[in-house]
Amino acid sequence: MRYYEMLFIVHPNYEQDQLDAIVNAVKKEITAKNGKILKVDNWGKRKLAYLINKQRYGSYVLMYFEAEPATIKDLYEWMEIQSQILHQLVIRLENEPDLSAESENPDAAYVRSDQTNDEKKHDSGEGKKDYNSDDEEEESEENEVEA
Amino acid sequence: MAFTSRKKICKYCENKKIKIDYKDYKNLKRSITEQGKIIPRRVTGTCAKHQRELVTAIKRARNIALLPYSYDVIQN
Repeated sequence: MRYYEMLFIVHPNYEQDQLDAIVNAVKKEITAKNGKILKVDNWGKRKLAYLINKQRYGSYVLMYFEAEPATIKDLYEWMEIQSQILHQLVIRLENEPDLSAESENPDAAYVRSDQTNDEKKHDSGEGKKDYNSDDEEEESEENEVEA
Repeated sequence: MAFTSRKKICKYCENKKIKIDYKDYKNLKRSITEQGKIIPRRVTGTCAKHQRELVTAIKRARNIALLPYSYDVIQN
């Protein structure tokens, strides 16, 4: 048995229940070949870098599993036949995968960086307020001079 | 003095926390040009070991449509 990592793209027309059905079918296919599912990570729908089967979007699913090396070729061919699956990438892992991370979606990390940007904006807004108050003070000083 | 090259630093050797992974396509974007080509290590200064890892990661990301094979350059 060896550790594998598979990332595949599901057709964007299949959502929620239908997507779950496809994921379950893939799981069944792996377990039928004496494989063992370790983790399923659904990234959700995201834009593809280029068109695949004339599709602009796709749902990404990341899966970690254990399987016999001889069964991987069959699994790959089975995945190719499925019309709902646009593309797949199977990678052999040398070591046991680290399953502690909740989701490895690269865009989830991007959201976090957005939040920090918002905080920065918030900070700059406060800075502007301070600046405005300074202006007012200056104006009042000028008025005093005029008076 | 004119021909002394500045010392090349591999950022992946300097900062061992950065892991090279095809899923982390945002990090890989720094290692490709505007057209989507992989930047050679003579430019970036990445060491041979990490450049090899980078190349496989970029190619995997391209395969699964996380990164494009080429960006369309708008012709004027």
